[in-house]
Amino acid sequence: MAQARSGDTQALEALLRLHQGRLFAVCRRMTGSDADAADALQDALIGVVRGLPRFDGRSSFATWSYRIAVNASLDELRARSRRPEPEEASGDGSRTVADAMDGVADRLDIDSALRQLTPEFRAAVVLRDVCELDYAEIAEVLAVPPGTVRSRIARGRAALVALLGGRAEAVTAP
Amino acid sequence: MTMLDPHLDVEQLSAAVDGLADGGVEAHLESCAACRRQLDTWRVVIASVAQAASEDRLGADVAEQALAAALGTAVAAGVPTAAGVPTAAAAGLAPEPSRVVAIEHGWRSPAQRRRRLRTAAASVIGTAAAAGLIALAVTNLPHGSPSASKASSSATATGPDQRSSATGSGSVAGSPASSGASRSAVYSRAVRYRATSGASGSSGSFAAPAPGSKLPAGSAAGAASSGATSSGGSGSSTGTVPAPANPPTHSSTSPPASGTAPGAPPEQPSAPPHLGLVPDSAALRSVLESRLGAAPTGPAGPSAVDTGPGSNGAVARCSVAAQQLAGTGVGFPQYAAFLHYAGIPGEVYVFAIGGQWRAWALDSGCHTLATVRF
Repeated sequence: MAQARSGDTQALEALLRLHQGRLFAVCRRMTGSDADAADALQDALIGVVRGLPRFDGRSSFATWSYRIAVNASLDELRARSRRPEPEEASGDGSRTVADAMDGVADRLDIDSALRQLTPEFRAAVVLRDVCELDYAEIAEVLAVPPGTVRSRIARGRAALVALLGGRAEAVTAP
Repeated sequence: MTMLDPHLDVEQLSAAVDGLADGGVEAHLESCAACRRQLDTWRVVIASVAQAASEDRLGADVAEQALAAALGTAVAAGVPTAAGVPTAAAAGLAPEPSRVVAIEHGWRSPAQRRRRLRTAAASVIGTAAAAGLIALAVTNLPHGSPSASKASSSATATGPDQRSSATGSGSVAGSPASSGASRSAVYSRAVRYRATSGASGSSGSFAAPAPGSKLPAGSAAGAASSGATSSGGSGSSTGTVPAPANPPTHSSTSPPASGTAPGAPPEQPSAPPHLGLVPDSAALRSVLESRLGAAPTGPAGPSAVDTGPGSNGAVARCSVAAQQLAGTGVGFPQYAAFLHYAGIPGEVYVFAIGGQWRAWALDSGCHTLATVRF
């Protein structure tokens, strides 16, 4: 980290390589498509590079970079909202978790369900359930109070359960 | 909370999933089968989300492109770099083409592609202009020809921060309309290029270093007139590096940075500029190597080109030239130029990696317009 901040390109590249996978996961879950996630990832990495000299270390690099990735994803979502939704990205949410066990269908269902959450709820859920950040960290990333985080996570999860939970109930039924 | 209490609400269920349930919730769960089933459902759904995320695959091309853009930004932003070259990030591209061509356009997502279809024509022009500007930048090295020196005497000077513009035949190099202050700052130390041409002939304009800068005569301004054969703006390639028909004019004053020079007419996207400036790859490589020496050989990577800070083979020579070109003394290890055409502000980076010359053309959002190798 120190080397990267001091201008060592190799260290910077190594740092970006180390974290870009998880940043992509955030972008992928936030945007719901590989293409948009690629755009968001690129913007996020650029944001990391530009912000690195100002990174003060008060939070962990992971938390800080998650914030950049979430913001890049939200920007990408806003940009996407201004253009037609690709047909292949649309989904009716009618599939359930059971289909999900079939890999691609699963991913499509989950993407579809996540897309139906508001970005605020989606970010909270992704940071908690994908990135496994604790509530305090999520509050820091999203710059909202922990109580808001708790509420967003709960409501976001509830929406996901409503969208995906039918078959899950069957799966878990005795 | 007991069986007499209402069922768990979503916040209580969510807390239970995270193991943060309080004693009352746990007690309720012990006594309420419905809530236990509901909690199980929540856990399955949440696990499926996490599982799907774990299966996300970041494609190597996406990863490399993102890294290259980010590392290129580091240099453009003046982030100090020791090696200064996004070597590994740029390493695994396709084999060298026989001509200088755009091998990858920046519209990476179908949605973006659709969104930008309206400007597809301009994009194509922009890409062509990027390649042209790469060639232009390449020919703008501080070893300008006598004709370049001559041209430099008529180049419009800019302020020390290089943010101003120059005019030539009414064309203007100004701040990209979409650029914010931060980007202006980012670009303030780069040389800006602007090339326009019309049906009746081409004109080149660009931001030249301020008087007293480190730019030697015939370097930046030489871009406008270096090369021998111009094929005009028709897009034909002559195999040499043609020049704009009209060299830029020079003044000793530095107008403030702006999108339009005083008195200049508003810019309109016009015919593709300097398409004739795109030579074939062999010619362009020849120009590069005649100016800078052979590109470093060996495997891509810092070890192949780094011999110490500020000295990494051809890249170091690029850095010296770029410093002179920009007149800032900042150690840009690449040639930086602006693609500022047809409403697509951007920048071009050229550098040598692993025995090849590589260039990235980025738009103002740092999205890759094109990558070229030669």
